[in-house]
Amino acid sequence: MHNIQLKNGQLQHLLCIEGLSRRIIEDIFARADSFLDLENNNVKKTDLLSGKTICNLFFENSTRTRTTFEIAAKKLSADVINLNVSTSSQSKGESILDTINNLIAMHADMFVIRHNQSGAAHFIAKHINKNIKVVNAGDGYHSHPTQGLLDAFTIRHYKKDFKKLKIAIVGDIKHSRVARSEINALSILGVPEIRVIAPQTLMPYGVKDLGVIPFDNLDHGVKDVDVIMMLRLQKERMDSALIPSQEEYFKTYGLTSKRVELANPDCIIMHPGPMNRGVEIESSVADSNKAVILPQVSFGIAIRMAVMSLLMEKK
Amino acid sequence: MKYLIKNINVFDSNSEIQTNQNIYISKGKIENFLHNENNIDKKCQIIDGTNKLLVPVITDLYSNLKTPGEEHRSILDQEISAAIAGGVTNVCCHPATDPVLDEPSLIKNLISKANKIFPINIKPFAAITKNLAGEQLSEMKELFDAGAIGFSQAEQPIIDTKVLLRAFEYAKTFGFTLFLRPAENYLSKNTYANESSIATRLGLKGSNRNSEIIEILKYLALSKDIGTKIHLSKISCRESLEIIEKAKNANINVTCDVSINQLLFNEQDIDGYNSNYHLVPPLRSKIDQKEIFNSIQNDVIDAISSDHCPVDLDKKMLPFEESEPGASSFETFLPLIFKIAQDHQINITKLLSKISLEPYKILNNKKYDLKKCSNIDFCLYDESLSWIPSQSLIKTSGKNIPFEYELQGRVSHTFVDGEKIYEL
Repeated sequence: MHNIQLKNGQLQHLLCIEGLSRRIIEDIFARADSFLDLENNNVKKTDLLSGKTICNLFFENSTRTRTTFEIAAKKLSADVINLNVSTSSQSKGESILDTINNLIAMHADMFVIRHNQSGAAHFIAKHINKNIKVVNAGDGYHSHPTQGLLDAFTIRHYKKDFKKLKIAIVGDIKHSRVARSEINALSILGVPEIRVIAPQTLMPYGVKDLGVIPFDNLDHGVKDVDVIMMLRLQKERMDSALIPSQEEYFKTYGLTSKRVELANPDCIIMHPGPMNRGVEIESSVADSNKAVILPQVSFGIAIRMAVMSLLMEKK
Repeated sequence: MKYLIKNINVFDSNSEIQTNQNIYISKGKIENFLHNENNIDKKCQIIDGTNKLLVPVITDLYSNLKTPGEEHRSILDQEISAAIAGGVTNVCCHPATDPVLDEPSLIKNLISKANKIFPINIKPFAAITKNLAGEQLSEMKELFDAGAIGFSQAEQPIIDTKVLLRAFEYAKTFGFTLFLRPAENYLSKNTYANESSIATRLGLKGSNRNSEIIEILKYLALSKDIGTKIHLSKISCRESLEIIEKAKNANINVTCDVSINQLLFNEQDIDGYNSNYHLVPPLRSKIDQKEIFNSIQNDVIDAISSDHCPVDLDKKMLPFEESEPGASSFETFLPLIFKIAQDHQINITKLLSKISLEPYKILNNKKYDLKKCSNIDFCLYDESLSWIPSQSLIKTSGKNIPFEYELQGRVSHTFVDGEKIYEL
């Protein structure tokens, strides 16, 4: 793919993880580290993006992601506009590009975009003025790059060397932009063994070509892994005959404490949230000391600050 | 009008190219392939045929004229002009219009409107079922008498197999051909790309190849049992071609075509989300493409269709899955056939027959005889002209051409019923 998010090796937009260099990812991590240091030193705000306007343009409902982007932008002293587009101009028939161009005319400097169509962020980045930055906050089944980065950043915090890890991603791989971004990020960072675990109905076609090992048995898949990354199972999957019931799913693919015992003793458990307790993960596992689910959220703010500040930096 | 075309190469009815011919056309037909110019009307128009190839009766088995339905954009004028400029003299258009072509008056109206623009041969497919709903059969006999050349459901398969069986039986009663685009409803609905690792990587909803295969098996079973003549449109999967080959060997009355888009592009082109590659059926793999070329060589594929579908720019300027599928291809059809011949080292006569003589035979159950035909249709293709099909140069209302490279060769003249109706 022609990588429109890069120009002369520099990041212009963050649209997906695919095509990023290890150096760029490590730059983002280093920045996130520095923002965490500030936080630890009780510095709540920096003025890096003072005077800049960031538009959170969410064509699809989201509370958690939108809020973390908003907090990140405000910590950088940017002015933030939240637009819930599903209730505004789009419902009146305005095209995406017209909506975006109107906001550009109002002097927005960056768009954080979530859309239910794969490639929507690419589409917007391709058609707007080159000085405006785009951050993909999730597009269809394609990519959720800041989630992929924050998950890798979380792993980096708890595990020393990516090159020695076995990592399992469990759940609805087929419909998950998070899984795709995690796979891309971990591959670039050199993780030698990435497993994906799901029934065939939730496994995307040709998944091996992404450089992962597919498993349809959870017990086999989590054996000896260092990290288990759970995915949320959306309720609508039951309606489309992808799985027979939540109960059967939990029995066969739910992460229980007994299954966690099959992994390495120092294994960590992650989940991008929101969790369905009793569907994909047992409560005792979600609340155990192996779970790093809440730190993921905190790291998410630092990663988003890092991405936004990197993109807006004068080159 | 009488015409003398001098020093012209002619793609003839035996799929051979006759070089340096002088052709005299009078009263709509070829009077003579001349060796001297003694017996011609001195007032006839002389056309220099140097560097040109005469290609008879280009017949397109799958196009979308979007008429009725989008008259406010004068779309029919533009699409007919585009067909003529592309040398396409016989245009089969599908019935998924607004309203659907399911009434005789609509068929008559479309033909008459088109002929007021240019005397082109419009051959509409009427809907197999009323409103394409797959419930009630349309009045096939009345529609045929009104000018429908065959019957189709365009992209909307008949879900109820009993209705499908009745359609096969009823069409067989009158000897009508069903033109079917195989796509199983539930597997093809809301899909936008070939189901593969590329679609997975891009997060696009993939079309499972069983969608095409299952539907073909169903159609062939019915055709074998009932004897209805069927033509399968826009085949895209290699497994389908294997099945069709076996069916032909078993003497099932089946023919098929492939869209030119499947010859030019493959699924790797959708990388980057360029909505001009959003096509139906979706672009398949390189392996499928290779098998399509093999099936052209060994005549499992009978015809190549333009799959011309003009799409308004606003409907393409959207994220991939939201954009309207289709590509404009009337005007680039013939130059691209030459490009394919060159790029893939296929004999040009093989490809030319797949866009002219073969589809003509499918529609008319008879061979096109250039020498004996009383109203000849043909175009002159000038191999010396190079051009880029830019938005300002093309006549179609849809500027959705998925490539921007220079083409070598262009249609310079188009004749219908022996009369020149277009000159570049």
